[in-house]
Amino acid sequence: MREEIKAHITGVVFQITAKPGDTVAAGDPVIVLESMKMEIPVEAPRAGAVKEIRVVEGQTVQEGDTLAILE
Amino acid sequence: MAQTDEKSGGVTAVRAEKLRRLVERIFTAAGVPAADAATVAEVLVEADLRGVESHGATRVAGYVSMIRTGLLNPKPGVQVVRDLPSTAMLEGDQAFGIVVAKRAMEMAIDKARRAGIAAVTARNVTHTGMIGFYTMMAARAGMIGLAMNNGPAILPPFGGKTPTMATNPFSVAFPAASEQPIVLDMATSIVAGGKLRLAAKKGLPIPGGWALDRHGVPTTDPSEAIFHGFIQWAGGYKGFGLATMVEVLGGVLSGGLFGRDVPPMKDFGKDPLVTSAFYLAIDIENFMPLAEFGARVDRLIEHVKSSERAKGTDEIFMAGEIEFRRRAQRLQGGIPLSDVVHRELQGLAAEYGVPFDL
Repeated sequence: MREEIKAHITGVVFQITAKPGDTVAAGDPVIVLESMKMEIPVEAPRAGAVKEIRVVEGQTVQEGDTLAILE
Repeated sequence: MAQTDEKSGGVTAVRAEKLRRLVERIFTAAGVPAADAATVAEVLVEADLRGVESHGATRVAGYVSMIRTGLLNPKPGVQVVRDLPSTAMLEGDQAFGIVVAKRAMEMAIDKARRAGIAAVTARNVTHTGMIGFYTMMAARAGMIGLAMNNGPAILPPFGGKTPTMATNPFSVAFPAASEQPIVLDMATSIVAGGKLRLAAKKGLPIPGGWALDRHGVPTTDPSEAIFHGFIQWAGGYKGFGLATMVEVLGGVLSGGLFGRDVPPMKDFGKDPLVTSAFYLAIDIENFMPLAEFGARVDRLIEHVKSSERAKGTDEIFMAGEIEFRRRAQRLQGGIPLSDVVHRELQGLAAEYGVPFDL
């Protein structure tokens, strides 16, 4: 089942910790945002495979933006 | 005194007054009452003027995002839950920490005028900005100001590895006579997180005393520290002890959240950023004439500044002195705004239909 991983809050993409094809467990960080001067991990909501990463490091994202696609 | 030197790309010098007006307009357009928008803009730009960029306009996008996601209440019902001659307690209703902090220190100053000394707590607010702003309010009123606040659990206790407290900052300000006030404004952690991020981006090791790895052991690997470990306390158990003072006065005494009950920063965005604070004002006139106190502080500053200098030191600074000097320079030459923040403000201005004229 395809699922979008979205940003909860505005921030800058500090690090992308998974790449397409990676298998992740529920709670694994996929993207790390820097927001309010802190690192905020955006975690996989469930186990699955990372299908797509939609952002690049250094990019500013807003709350609700899709960061990655999980399958 | 937290500063970030985390710059990606270039900077543009902008006039403080223009920046203040833009930030105020963005917050007003985002639904913040005009007076509160003006206060938030004033405190953020003051941080940028003093070189505390980590608490300046870089916060605008985060604050706006918190409003849009319901994590920050732009029209809160702030309540005075107790009001006595020398104390008060405020309930913040997830308000702008900046707005409630300014009000709390105004109340403390006003009460101290009559009672000699007064303390006001403020619980359940969001990010409070550069807390030296509030102690300087007291100094300008001829008083000694003390401010501190807790926040999301980021650091473990000394010797532990379970995040339990924030970087718990405190500030104290003392008015002088002919010199600038002495303004100490510091986190109780040894270093700002931004310095770890900068080292990670550059692929450089960090000094051994800055951070711990996932096992609670000192590390020089910034990535390990950022993603799995912790920043260390300033001065080890002494910094942890000071943070505990801040946690009790800010979190426990205020009736607010404290320790691990504060929503953790890793859930920020899903959970709000909650802080609680303590503000104290001491009327110097209750001890001696303000002019005499100011002259005595001037004399202390003279003692410090005239110290024989250690090898390699060009000048000795009082707490806050570098920031006052930078403020004067930036009022003249402008605030160096990073391209990232510039773009963020431009985007928000376009989104809210606010003229962008930096």
